[in-house]
Amino acid sequence: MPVLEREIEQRWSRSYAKEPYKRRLQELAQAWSAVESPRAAEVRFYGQAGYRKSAEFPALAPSSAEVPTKTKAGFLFRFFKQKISRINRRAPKILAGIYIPIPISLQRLLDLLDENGEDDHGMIGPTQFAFKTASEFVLKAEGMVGWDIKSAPVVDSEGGIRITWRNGNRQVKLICPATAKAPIYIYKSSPTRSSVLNENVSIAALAENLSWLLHGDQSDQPST
Amino acid sequence: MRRPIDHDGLSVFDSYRIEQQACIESSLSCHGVATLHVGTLLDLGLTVIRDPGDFTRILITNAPFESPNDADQERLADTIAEGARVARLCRWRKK
Repeated sequence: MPVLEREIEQRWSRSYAKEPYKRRLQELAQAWSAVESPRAAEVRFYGQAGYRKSAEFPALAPSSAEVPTKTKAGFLFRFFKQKISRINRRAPKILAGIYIPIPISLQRLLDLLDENGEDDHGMIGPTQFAFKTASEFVLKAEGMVGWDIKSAPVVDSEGGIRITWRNGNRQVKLICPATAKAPIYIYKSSPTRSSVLNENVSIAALAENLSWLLHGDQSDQPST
Repeated sequence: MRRPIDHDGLSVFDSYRIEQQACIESSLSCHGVATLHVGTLLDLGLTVIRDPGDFTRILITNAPFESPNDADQERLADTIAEGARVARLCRWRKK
C-alpha cells in the first residue's frame, strides 16, 4: 500500500471514524445552536416590525439536525488541504534542496556572460542577440537529439558566438552573429568533406547535424 | 582569428623579434601564447609578409576571416588552428 494511502486510512480510522468523536461533534453543534445568532438578536431587538419577516432571516448557526456529516470525501478534502498548505510552507526549503542539472553546453554558454567589455581583439562578452539565438538553438537542438553533447563556445570580435561540437574527426559548428544583419550558419566537416548550411538554418537542421556528429552516415564511407 | 576590420591581414608577433612575456604584456588581456610555423603557413598557400607599420609583427594577408560563411575558408581556419602550438598559458589582464 502506498505511503499516502496508508496514512489516510490510519488517520481516518484513528480520529474521524470513531463514535466518541461524532458524539462530541454533535454536542458542540448543539451548544452552538443554543447561542443566539446576531441576526436573531437583531430581530428580537427591533421586533417583527422590521423590514423583513423573521422567517426570511435564516439561522446562522447550524441546528442539531444540520450537524455536518463526517464523510470520507470531506475528510479527504481537509487532509489534502492540510498537506498542500504544509508543502507550500516548506516549498522554499524543498526547492533550495532540489538539484536541477544544467546541460554542459548551456553552462558553458552562461560562462561567456562572466566577462564583458572589450580587449585588443574586440568584444569579450556576447551580444544579447547572439546569446539568445545560441541558447535557443543549443537547448532545443540537443533536446531533439536527446543527448547532452559537450560543446566549446567562443565569442568573436563583434560579440557573436561560435559553438563547436566535436566527435572524433567530425565536427559541427554553429555560428551565431552579433546582430540579426549577418546570417546564422552551420558548418560541418569530416575528413572526407565539409559543407556550410547558410539557408533555412533551423533548430531541426542543427539537430540533424548533431545527430550526424554522433552517429555518422553512410556517405562518410570512402568511395571505391 | 582575423577580424572583419583586419583588412591588411591577420597580425601576429614575430618570435625572433619579441619575447613571450612582452607579447603578453602588450595586450589588455591574455590567456596564453601559441606559435605558428611560417613554413607550414606557406604550405597551406598563405602569404606571410613583414608588417610595414610594426617591425615586431608579421601579417598573414590571406588568412581566413573569423566567420567566413564558406566551407573552404572554415577548413583552412581549422587547419591553421590545428597547426598552432601552445607555448604558454597565462591569465593576464592589464591594470
